[in-house]
Amino acid sequence: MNEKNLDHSHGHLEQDNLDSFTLIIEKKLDKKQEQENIKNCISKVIESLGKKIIEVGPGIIGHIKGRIEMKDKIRFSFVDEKQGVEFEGNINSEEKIDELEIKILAVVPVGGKELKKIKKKTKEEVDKCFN
Amino acid sequence: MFETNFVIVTGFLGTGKTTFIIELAKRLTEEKDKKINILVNDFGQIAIDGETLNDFGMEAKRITKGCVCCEVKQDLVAQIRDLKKNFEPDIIILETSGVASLLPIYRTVEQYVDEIETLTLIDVSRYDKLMEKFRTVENQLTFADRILINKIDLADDEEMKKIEEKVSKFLNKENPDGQLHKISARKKIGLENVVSGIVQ
Ligand SMILES: Nc1nc2c(ncn2[C@@H]2O[C@H](COP(=O)(O)OP(=O)(O)O)[C@@H](O)[C@H]2O)c(=O)[nH]1
Ligand SMILES: [Mg+2]
Repeated sequence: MNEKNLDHSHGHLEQDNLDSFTLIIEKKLDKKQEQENIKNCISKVIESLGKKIIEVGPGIIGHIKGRIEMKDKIRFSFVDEKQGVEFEGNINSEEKIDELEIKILAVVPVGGKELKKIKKKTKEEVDKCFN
Repeated sequence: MFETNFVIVTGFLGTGKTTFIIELAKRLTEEKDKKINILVNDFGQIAIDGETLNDFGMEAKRITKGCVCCEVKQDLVAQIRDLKKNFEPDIIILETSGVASLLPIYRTVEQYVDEIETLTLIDVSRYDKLMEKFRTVENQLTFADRILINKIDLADDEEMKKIEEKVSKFLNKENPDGQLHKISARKKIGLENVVSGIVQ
């Protein structure tokens, strides 16, 4: 593959000054937690991620989306502040679980070092949900 | 010989493509008795949309590792040929990544399908900002057969009027044949005409 092709391997993001990152976080918890608590905590993480993108970029989010796979599976999506972080799918709130997987895909108008920093911070914030 | 139509669902990131396709595929299958296949072109290693469609009992083939309008063109062709051979679908629906250019996709698929229909979603609350910042949005509107103003549940009458005016103005100039629909994919509003338009 030549260099031009490599440039293109993000699927055209660069022509619109977009970039992306992916996080896949698998967790085995020492102590069981309620699904609802986990959902709320992740929701806050996603919200602050989106706000950060708005703050450092040209004022829009792009799309942050993902899934939380616990005993029940839910997906979330964050496209603008007015709509907020939206969840779809049902969970049994009080059900306690000790194993889960979180996937986050952010396609945003921020790139380079700045985005790497934001990704790292997001991962740390997710980890904090489980202390 | 059976015929396969190709429906491209495009629109910027987060405009509601996946939500819309879930409803569209359901209606085409249940109400119009059509055999449907879905292709999803998503970013990154994770196929969030593919999994979401699976949650709704729909199988979606994933095309990852790039954009269907450039480096994974051949994947797209291979998938279409494979689906036609094994499933004989009436309609193949493609969810684009949200930033794909349309012309290269047409050129790639036109020899493998009988008809191509492009549906472009736009998002009521972000139209101005997206038009201002992203060239792809213009491209998607210019080549659309149908333009679906989505998330109308979020706008009041006045906002609706404003956005309709803006979109109409753009279409009058750049895409006078494009048909305008107002929908809410999530609240399932205004979808009948879109569905009927696709099957006629
Ligand atoms: N209020 C509202 N939200 C919607 C509508 N359609 C989709 N959404 C939401 O918009 C977000 C992005 O939707 P998605 O289908 O993932 O967009 P995509 O990136 O274009 O595939 C999700 O949170 C959806 O629930 C709608 O008609 N009204
Ligand atoms: Mg999608």
